[in-house]
Amino acid sequence: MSRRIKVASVCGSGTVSSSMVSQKIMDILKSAGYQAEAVEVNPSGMDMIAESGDVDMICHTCPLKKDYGIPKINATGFLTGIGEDTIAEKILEVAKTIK
Amino acid sequence: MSILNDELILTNVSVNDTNEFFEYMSKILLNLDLVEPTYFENIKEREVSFPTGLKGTSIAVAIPHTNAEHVKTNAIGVVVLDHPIQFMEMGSEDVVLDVEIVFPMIVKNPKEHIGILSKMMGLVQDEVSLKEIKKSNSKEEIKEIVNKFLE
Repeated sequence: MSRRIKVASVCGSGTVSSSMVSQKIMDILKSAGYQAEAVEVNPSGMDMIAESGDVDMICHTCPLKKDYGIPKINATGFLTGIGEDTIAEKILEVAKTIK
Repeated sequence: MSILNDELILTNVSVNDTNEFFEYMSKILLNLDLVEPTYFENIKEREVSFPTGLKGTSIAVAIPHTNAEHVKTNAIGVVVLDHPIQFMEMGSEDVVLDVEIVFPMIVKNPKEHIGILSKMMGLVQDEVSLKEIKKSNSKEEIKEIVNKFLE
């Protein structure tokens, strides 16, 4: 059994689109058999939690210029429903690499 | 009552860029007393940091919004542009979209924001409705189309 995957969901407000996409991310990871949890933040919140070193994957709907050394996935398609399969694939690909 | 504001349904709007668009929109919103005087500066800055362009399957739209403190109420507008203007795509730093319809989102209560945004996404995904809005010159018709998604 793999450990719980921690996802940071980032948007401009840290509450609205990040909550909408983190719902979908959790569904994808859980239906693929992973244990997962998400935290919703804005970019400055992301800076803070990145320092804790406790994030496995970043999904974002706002630009994130900084390289946190953590896999980043643009999840805006989860809002519009366009390209959802591609985003889901990327999420599962990253999930596979988490030990 | 729908959150869609009749006075914010605008067609054949001719502006050349986002700056002109926000100037135009801010004046209308201020006159209607829907936003704070800080709205104009804030919406411009926020669009740069957190772009709101969204590509539909054939029509690109944008859903510009500010944080709650710069607005006075909840309202959604529909602005059909005479010719497309460029918005950056949400979540990206370099993907430019030729936006044809803008849906300004004025949201005072953050708790309602998720619900409103989800409903608007239904519309963004519906190419048939977007095309109808684009070619329509009737406020009533546009109102009817958009309200189907907001109910």
